[in-house]
Amino acid sequence: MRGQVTVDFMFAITIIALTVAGLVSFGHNMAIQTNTLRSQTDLRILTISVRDDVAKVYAAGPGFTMKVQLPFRLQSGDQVNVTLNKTTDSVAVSALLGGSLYRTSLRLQVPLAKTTKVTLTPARTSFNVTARMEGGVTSVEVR
Amino acid sequence: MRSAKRGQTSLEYLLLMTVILLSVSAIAASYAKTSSSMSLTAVVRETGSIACSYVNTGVVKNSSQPYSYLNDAITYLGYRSPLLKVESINVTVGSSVDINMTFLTGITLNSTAREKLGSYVRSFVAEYLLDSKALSGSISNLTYRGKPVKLEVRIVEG
Repeated sequence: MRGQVTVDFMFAITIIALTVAGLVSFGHNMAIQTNTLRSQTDLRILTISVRDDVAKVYAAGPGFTMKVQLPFRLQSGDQVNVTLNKTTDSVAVSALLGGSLYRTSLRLQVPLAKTTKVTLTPARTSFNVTARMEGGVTSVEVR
Repeated sequence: MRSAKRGQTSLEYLLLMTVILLSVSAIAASYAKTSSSMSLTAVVRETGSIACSYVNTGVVKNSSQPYSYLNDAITYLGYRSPLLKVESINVTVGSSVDINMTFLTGITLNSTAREKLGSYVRSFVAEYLLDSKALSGSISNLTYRGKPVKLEVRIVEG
């Protein structure tokens, strides 16, 4: 019996290996799902806060600026686009997070005068929401 | 464990193993039969809540099969959050399998929108259950251990 693995031992190892493999795959799937949900929630929070800030800036009038800080951390290669779209009167956020593309949008409560867009990267994590007088109407822009 | 002199299994040992294996298989079979509807209910419920939390974010993630149905639902609603939650799940396992899922929505939707949303959620649930091997067959022809499955998803305002 020297240097020899018994059949019982091999059975035990097999059963343990199967259990561990099952647990690892379950945990892996769970982690993917949770990360997706977290990114989705982060982007939704950003969209809602931009929508509210646009309304506040519009209400304060021309010359007013609010600084928006990205509420989550970007990894290298990540990118977030915030667009104020005049044609649909909405704020659209599209993002590349961890190699996956996310997209969302919300209707604005105030009218826009023009379409503006800002791109956020790990090097730049904040932007301004500004109201300016343009052609006699208040124009809210991101820059 | 056993002290067979020339690598030979003793008769008592074989007899003992037979009794143990037979009783284990008898118990396992009856257990699997009674708990099949229970376990199906659990996995369907889990899938339903995954669909709810995904759709409620109102954010589309570009990804493959099961989630693309929910992406269609989100874009159909114009990225609005439908505030979905699982209301009830009924699973009946007989000669065929009936799965009835009811979701509550927190926003006002007309019946066409609710039907459309329901069909997207149904496609997701079916595809997800096929992926996780809880059901077999195809999305239009689901089966559960050889029995035909009728999957119905209803969205009601609450």
